[in-house]
Amino acid sequence: MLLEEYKYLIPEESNGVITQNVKELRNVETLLRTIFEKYNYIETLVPLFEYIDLYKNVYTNFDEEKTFKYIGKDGNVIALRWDFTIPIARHYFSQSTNQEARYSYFGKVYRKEKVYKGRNNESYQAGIELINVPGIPGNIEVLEILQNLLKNLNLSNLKVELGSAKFFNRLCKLTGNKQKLIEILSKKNISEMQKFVEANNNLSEKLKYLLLKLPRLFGDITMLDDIIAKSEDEIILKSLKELRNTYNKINCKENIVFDLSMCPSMEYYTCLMFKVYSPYSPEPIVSGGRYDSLYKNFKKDVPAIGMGLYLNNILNALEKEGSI
Amino acid sequence: MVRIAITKGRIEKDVYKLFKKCGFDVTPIETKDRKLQVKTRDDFEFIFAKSNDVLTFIEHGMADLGVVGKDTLEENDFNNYNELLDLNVGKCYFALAAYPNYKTKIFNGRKKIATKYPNIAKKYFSDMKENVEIIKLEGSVELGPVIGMTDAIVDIVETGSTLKANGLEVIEKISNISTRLISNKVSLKYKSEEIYNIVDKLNKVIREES
Repeated sequence: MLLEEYKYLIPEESNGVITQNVKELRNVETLLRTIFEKYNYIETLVPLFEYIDLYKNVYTNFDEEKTFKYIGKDGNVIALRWDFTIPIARHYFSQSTNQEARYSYFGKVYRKEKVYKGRNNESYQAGIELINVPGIPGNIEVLEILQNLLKNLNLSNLKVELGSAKFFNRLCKLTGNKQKLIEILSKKNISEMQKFVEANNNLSEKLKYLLLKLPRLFGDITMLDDIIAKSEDEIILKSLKELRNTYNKINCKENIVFDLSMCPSMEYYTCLMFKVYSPYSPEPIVSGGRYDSLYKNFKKDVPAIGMGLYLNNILNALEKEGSI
Repeated sequence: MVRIAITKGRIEKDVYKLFKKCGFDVTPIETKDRKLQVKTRDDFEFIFAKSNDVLTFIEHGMADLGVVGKDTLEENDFNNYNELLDLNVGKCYFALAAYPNYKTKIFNGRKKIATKYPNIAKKYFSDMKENVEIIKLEGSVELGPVIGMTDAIVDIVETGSTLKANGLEVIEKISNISTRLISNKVSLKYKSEEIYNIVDKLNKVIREES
């Protein structure tokens, strides 16, 4: 091709050079950085290259096709950074101590998305990982940072939605059909839940009642309290009360809602999960959760919690809302 | 306002009847002629689109609700929507179909399969642990075996009359299909009252009919 043709030819995977909203992106970044620093999070620079086997060992259903990859010097397959949690976890394991640690990150992840659907293969993320601060104190620290930064973002009508992986895992155990439950709950499928309950007559009446309601069990604290009052199973109660206790200790409560049919978007989530929605973004703008068993894979039994902010979604929402 | 994307064609007619039975205002749909977008007294905005485009609009949050066949949901690789309700209309099924001698014939090498749904076909044969060559056709898939290009087809079967007219028969049923009500995940968080009002009324009508 002639050199001048490259004025308009760019690879399908590329978004070209972006000039729009770059200043706003940096402003959001600065805002986040200031808050992360205030809470003593150490900013990390995470490598772009990782062995693909690292990801495959952590995620049992890792979709390799979505990664950008090549064969490295040593003959092993290398993936471009697919997320930040795993490289940061690897860094923590390489340390000899098991101390509390606070890390933050800013950068892009690279995932092959569908073509011709208006999606980006490079998405800009920021986030934090809080390691070895277990239970509610850890949850509260992360949620407080979240509330703090949302307050400063110039986005209105946000919803911070909490869910429980422990609750979800208990339901999987009680029904004995995790696969089906994910299929139904991740789609809030009323018709399929009806069929599932009818086909599983051996389940207790209480459980059937809960399952039938579950696809629509999202809403404010009164919804959660109502379900707590009606539940008897010990582990279900425990998981819901954990959510309640986390809620009790959050300073700013008005934008908090719950979704009991929330399915773990990452298989390593163990307890609290959360998402932030804006009416101006078709996808969540923040996603996070507690993953107390992830680090066990690396033979360090420490609890951890983290969250990632999808900066592209945040910028789009800011733009649509007219805040840019 | 709730924006509802409807798959054009037969699904559109079924949905029109369901919404009418729910007591919703459907007059603007009756008189829409070639308009692609109409507003109703219930503060709904209906848009009419091709099935896969309904999913694209849901994906981008440009429509809150969508009405689309299960066949489209299964074939499309976008997965991040709520599938709220089986509307129990537009019932048909995916099947493997071929000439009757398919069952006993010994094939040298890979079978050739014509289909409009390569993902469904790929999944079916990988579940059967069979390696086949899939050839995508855009319509009248039956032509694959008829002109001798492929050994079988994977397609939607409603009445089976096209198969029969061309000497083909269903070798195996793969999965059931019907029309589904889907939503964008964020829309459901912000418009749950409006959306569940529609869901409840539709659900009542569906139950009365079945």
